[in-house]
Amino acid sequence: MSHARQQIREALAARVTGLTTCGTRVFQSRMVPQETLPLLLVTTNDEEINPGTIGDIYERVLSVSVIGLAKATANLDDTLDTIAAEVEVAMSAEYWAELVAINVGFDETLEKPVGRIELVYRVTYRTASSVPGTIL
Amino acid sequence: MVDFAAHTGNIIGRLGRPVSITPTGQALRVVTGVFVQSPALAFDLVAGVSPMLRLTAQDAAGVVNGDPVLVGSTSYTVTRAQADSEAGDVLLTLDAV
Repeated sequence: MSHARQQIREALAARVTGLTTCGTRVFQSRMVPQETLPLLLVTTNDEEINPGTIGDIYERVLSVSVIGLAKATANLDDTLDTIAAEVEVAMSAEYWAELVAINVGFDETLEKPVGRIELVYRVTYRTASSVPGTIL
Repeated sequence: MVDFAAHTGNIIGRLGRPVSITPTGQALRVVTGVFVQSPALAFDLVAGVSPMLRLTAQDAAGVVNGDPVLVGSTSYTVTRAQADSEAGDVLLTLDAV
């Protein structure tokens, strides 16, 4: 049984697959080739876990990032904002994922500069301490 | 005393290839430069290459950010020019057009 983190990440990746700008270029890995831009990365990050008040239940708050990456062009900011708008609309169907921040960056390391827009979502869920793959 | 600039010029001449540069306000000229594309990562996420061109200071005279460079059939734009006055060369960081 996969961990709930993985289930959440896969569900959100499916939710943002097929959007206009990035299409099916949605990845859950943490490294991608520049040739595939523009694309979306869905990553599960740090998680805060608190003992619940009932038995061995964990209350968990997971940070999930949906990261849009695009090559620099004259209208890079427009592209990144468009990606964010498409993601926000798609993610609004997932009431349990709460948008808490948007971070933007620019990196000139590669032969084509890369822009990045990260939408940070907070997902709160519960599991039994001994069954991390089943969301209660 | 070692003439580093002459030594650098010899190295670039031996290892380099013809490239075309067009410094602002000057005509296109073909010079010899060492072109490398090192593997690089953007945001620690996106894998690609970082193209750089090393020219002698003499050949790079007048090159500034935004100037065009042609390496083979690929066009680039200079995004950074770092001169080493002791070594007598200039390292150009390039973006693909």
